[in-house]
Amino acid sequence: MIVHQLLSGAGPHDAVTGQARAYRALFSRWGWGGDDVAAALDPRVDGEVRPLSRLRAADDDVLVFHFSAYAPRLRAALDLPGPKLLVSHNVTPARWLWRYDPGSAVQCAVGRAQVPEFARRVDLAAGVSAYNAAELEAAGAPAVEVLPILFDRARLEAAGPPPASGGRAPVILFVGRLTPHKRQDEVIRAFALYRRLHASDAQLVLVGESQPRGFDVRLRELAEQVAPGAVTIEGALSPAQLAQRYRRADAFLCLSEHEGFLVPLLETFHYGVPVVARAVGGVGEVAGDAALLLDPDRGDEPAVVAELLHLAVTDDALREELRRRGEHRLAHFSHEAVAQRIRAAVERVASGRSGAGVDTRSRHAPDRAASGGPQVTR
Amino acid sequence: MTTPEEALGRAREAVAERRGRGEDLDAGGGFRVEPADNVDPAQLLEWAVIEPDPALVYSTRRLGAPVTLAKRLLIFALRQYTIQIVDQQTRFNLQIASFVAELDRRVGRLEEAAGKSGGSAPGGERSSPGQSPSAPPR
Repeated sequence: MIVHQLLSGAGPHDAVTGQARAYRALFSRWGWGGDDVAAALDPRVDGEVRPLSRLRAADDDVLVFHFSAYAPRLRAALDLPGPKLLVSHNVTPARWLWRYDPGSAVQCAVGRAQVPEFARRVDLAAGVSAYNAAELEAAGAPAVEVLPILFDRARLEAAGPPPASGGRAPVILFVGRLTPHKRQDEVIRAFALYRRLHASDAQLVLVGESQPRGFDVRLRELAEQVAPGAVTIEGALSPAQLAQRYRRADAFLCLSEHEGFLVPLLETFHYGVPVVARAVGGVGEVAGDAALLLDPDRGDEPAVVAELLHLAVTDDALREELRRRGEHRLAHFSHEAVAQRIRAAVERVASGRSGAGVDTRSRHAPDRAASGGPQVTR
Repeated sequence: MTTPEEALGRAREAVAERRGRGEDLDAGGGFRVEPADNVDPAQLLEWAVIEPDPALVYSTRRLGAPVTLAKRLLIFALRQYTIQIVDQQTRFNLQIASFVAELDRRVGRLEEAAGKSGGSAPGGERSSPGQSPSAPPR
């Protein structure tokens, strides 16, 4: 079978590109061929992922769209005749970006508006979480499924022994892009209060690249104001460095306002670190009962977060219980189980058994080669 | 031991107790991310003035410093042209934003007058800019 993957954009540290890589590794294992192409390409992944215009798809080649942002040129590929699977990685609501990153805000606003068209014109639409899938269903997708993020814990470094509580300065960790909707500003503020109320020597480590550029400067200024000398902000780290940060952490704190899935949650479970998180988007279903979840509708104040952190850091029995439950969550999202779901979804689409009312017009669309878009080979 | 299910309740109780003791639980001021749900005319006016930042023009390639330098030199070389674009777009934006701000004020005055006379504003609630049934001021 030939399966092509089409991405809105591809970059070296981009999570969606990482998923496309993981999908491709599986496809190769199953003996499936095909190309990975992107509408917008970071030069650092050129070669591995090719420009969209290079796509050569035969009539029965399966097309897997990884949708995460507005991509006008990707739309043309919907006219290709092959069976299509949409994997929606969720688009951040623009409301969080207008003030800080207008370029991304425009992309997200138009991208979210574009979701219904993609959802309706593919044979099967999949969300990475039930939260995402519900959005696709609401957008009019004829057939919807949940295909969780492919997470391979075997690629992570060994967790090592759990850090004992007490006797050293607690370390609070958050891993994720430094971007407005992830609310690192609230993480810093809640941490500062935790420090004031419970652990004056506590440290906060934020790991992630700044997007937009310069957003980290605002966070650093805030950190110096409310918790001087206690916050470390680090950019992209090697896997070994990241593993070291997880091993040192006493608790993971996520106060994000929007998440489709949140992969670092599974990494945190792997390293046995207790999680305190706001249950927004797909966070609740990924975390299950293995995290201390804040109710987003209650709008719990930073003081409540500080008290939860204190419990997560000092209550050894609670930590052990969370660690045990985290292992169960990892089993739920095991690489092999998700891989089989992906395989079943692709085979279903390829055989036309998606159950969708496929728009046959899209199977006889004119060749787009002349317009510089993706081409059909017959 | 606190179970995960009990933890949030315990945390809320602890906060209530602290508050009862009169403790200061203020998390501090400083930078706070704000979503743009209802962009008001004042914010529109601020955004109307376009100010591209050359520092955000850079190369993502390895050893991309010369590429970054070349890009910034190009911006500098074309500044007479780009300044025209920025000026003309900013002029348009400012005029539109001012117009919306004036409409907003006018709707506010009309709604206030309607409230004083015992009537209700069109739609029963405060209209948002651009929804005014009235003709714009001349």
